Amino acid sequence: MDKTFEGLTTTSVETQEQAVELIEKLYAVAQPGAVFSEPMEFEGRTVITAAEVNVGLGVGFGFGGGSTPADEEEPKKGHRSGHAKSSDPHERVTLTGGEEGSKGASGEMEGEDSAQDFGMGGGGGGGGGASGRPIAVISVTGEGVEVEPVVDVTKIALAFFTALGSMFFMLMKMKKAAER
Amino acid sequence: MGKGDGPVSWETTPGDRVSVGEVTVTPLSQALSVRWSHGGWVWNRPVGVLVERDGATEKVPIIDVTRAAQVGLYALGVLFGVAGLAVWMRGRRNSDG
Repeated sequence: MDKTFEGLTTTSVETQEQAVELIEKLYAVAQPGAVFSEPMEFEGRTVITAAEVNVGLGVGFGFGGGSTPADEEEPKKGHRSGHAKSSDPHERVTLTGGEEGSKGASGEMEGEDSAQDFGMGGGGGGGGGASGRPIAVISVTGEGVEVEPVVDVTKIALAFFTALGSMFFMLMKMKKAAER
Repeated sequence: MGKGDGPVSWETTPGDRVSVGEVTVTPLSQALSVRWSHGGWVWNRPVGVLVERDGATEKVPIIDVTRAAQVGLYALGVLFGVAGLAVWMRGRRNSDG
């Protein structure tokens, strides 16, 4: 049992260390290399793309353990062996045929192991997300630099229709209020 | 160029310089980083390029046209919402009073 506990603890610690290493790698996204691409030669000009990057990550761990004290359970009927209730947890009784035994000065315990039980549990979890969106293309020639924005028509159209719907809804409300 | 070494940091960092003929370009990015004990969040975006030519340095901004259009349109929608709410509340006050 000790070896199992030790093994589980070691595995848990290793997993947590790996998680911390992963979190540290997250901050590499804060560098310009994550946003700007390597320069590329294209039709006599050097092109660099620029994008916006968003990354988030979270992990959590939990571990617990416990033990039960020396045997204090009630006698079980119908069992050849079992435990008898006693006001003194250290006193042991002898049981026969599933009948409750009488308390004696000393006796033998049969059946289940009366050694301390030990339980433990642990868990962990994590989650994350990432997104990227092109912003512009930087074009470098011997004459100068041009920054051309990348326009996402879909996103603009969605924002437009959302605003339009909101305006229409409010105009109807205002019209009704005016009629009253 | 930056702010903060604590749980929240906001830094503008230059990237690798690129030279083409007589023009040297240094890209600039701005990163907002939030750290906590078991995680973090990073938002990194391009903000501009430094152009060096003939001994002079000029900063060319990178404008996120898509984001600007979205913000403008959503702001318009919110403005209409607030105006509509104000008119409705005034109407209710008049009808109550």
